[in-house]
Amino acid sequence: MEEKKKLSKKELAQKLLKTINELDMGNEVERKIKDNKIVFKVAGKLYRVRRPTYEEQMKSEKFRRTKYVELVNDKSMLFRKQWTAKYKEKGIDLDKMDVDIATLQNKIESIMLRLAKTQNEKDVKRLRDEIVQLRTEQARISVEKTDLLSYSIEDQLMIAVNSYYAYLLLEKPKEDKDNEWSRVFDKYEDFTNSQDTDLINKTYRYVSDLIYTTSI
Amino acid sequence: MDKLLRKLARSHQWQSLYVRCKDIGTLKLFNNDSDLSETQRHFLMWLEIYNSLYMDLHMEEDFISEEVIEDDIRCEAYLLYKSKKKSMRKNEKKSNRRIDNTHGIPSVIFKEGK
Repeated sequence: MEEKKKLSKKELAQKLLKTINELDMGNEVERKIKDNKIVFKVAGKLYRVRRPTYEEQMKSEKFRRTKYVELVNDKSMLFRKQWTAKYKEKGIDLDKMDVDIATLQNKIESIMLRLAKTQNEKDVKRLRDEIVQLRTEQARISVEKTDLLSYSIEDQLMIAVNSYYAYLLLEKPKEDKDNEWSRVFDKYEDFTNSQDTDLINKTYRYVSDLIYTTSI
Repeated sequence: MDKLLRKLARSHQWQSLYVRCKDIGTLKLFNNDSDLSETQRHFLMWLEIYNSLYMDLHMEEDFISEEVIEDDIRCEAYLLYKSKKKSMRKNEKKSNRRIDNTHGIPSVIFKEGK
């Protein structure tokens, strides 16, 4: 009885923690939606990321062009299409993966149309479970494909540009002035050489949330 | 992230703010007036979708309920069903247009004789 009581308390605590986390994340998302700025703390210090200005966008475009030329001139680098052909030679068919994803999508949609028209609780649960299972399989194939192409010129370029944006948009409060912020790293190299992985990872995530659709 | 955006978009607070913004036109949803981020665009899309779902619920359309709106997968299923129904109606209308309205026979194109 005591064991059961302890367990339920533990479960209750976990549930409460989950709710608090969800609330925190909800508040964070709400702030992000409202003003396009994300303020966060790492090791007790305050940071923020914001949307790029026109000038910063131009800087990033210049960086993208320079990086692209560098990657194209690098003989060890290949485009996605070239990787696809290379993998095919080794018996890995990336085009088939796309077909498999599309086939799964058709199956999902046909189950969804049945789910939309049913009110029966048992059927709802069964159809929902089937959809979740098919979506998991879809995601597995998609992740596998993304991994296989991660060294392509296109993917490497995207990583480099995201990292440049992160360097440009990461700010800390100015010590002597209220409501004024300044860049955390003076040079891009300082950002890429930083050992503060927690700060760098959080910055990447928040910047991609602000610039792209997303991690959604 | 998408899950949280959708939860916020269907919340009473954001739905009523969105409806007021649409009606009055002077209220602001975001602090910035321009240069919307992708997240903000995405959020606007969900606000509009949930707004139409609440309208369907209000109009007592088939297969929509509070439970469907609250459940992301069931909600997507309903949206898919709705869009298929709409495109079927559109196709039906198109095929009906080819038939003469009074006699139910296909329209005839008259050409000038030689």
